[in-house]
Amino acid sequence: MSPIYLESVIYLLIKGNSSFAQSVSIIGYTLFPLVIAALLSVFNLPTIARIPVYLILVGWSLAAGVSILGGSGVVKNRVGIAVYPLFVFYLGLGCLCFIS
Amino acid sequence: MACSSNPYEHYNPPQVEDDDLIDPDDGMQFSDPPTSKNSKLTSFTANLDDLDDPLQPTSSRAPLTGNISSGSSSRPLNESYLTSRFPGEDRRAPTNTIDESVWETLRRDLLAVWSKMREVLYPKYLFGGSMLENTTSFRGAYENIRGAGISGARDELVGLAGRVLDPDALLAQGNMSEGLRDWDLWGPLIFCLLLSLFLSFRADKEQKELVFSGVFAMVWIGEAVVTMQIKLLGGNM
Repeated sequence: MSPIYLESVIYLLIKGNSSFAQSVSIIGYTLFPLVIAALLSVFNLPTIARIPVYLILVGWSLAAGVSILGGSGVVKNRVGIAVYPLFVFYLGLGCLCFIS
Repeated sequence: MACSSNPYEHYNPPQVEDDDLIDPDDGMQFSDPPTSKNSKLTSFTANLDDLDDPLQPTSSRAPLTGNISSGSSSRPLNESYLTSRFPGEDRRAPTNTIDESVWETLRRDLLAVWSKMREVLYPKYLFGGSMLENTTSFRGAYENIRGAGISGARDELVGLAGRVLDPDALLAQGNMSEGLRDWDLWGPLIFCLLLSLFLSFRADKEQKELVFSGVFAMVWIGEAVVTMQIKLLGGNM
């Protein structure tokens, strides 16, 4: 099973190199609200105030990422699967900002 | 702009006079009895002396090089920093960056990062309702909300909540704008470095390097995994 997955990954990398970098670029740009969250952590925001602010910031990142990448030609009933790793990514970085 | 659109505008086609052409019939006429061709032969040898010496800069080629160098040096810089001067080329390529200061080159890249960031971080899909359409910034959206009043704002919120759970509308619209197709990785690098730097500030003293490198690797590997997932599910951007 895993060689098939690897082969398809390599094939996609070779086939669409430009769009791969495009998507990486857009996800990287949507990290900006999390940078704000990390900056607030540096200035030692109190924990009670962190919860709503960081939820809003993670939601902003997720909305920006989903609105650009979510509808990019994915098959119709798989939008949730395509968006879910994006959600995990932003939530994990948000938790790192929260505990630091 | 008009003088730089066509670099061969000042090209002077070489003027060839009829006297300078070597007629192959003249060579053939040497075998003829030189009775009536003496005048033709003397004129032919005189024309050989008048031909251009390739080692010497002659008058017909000197203005050509002068025009090319002056045309390229007088090309104005920074007319439009994001759009390429010739369509289909990279936006960094046609600009002559060797004459400008380092700050000018850096400023152009930073402005590109800034404009792309504004474009990405405004979620057009969630805020793309009837009241907020034809707006490209938060200020325009705020003006529209002020114009519509409280009931309009409530309708807009209801529509927003409905659009979150509606993948058909998400799929229907084209999300990638023209500015985003010209991707770069400067912005992701800056944000990734800032994020790992800020997170490593508050870590323990012996864990700072670990946190920095861990967050840096996590961001890039996460981006690659998310992109792979979208592409394996059939997304084409």
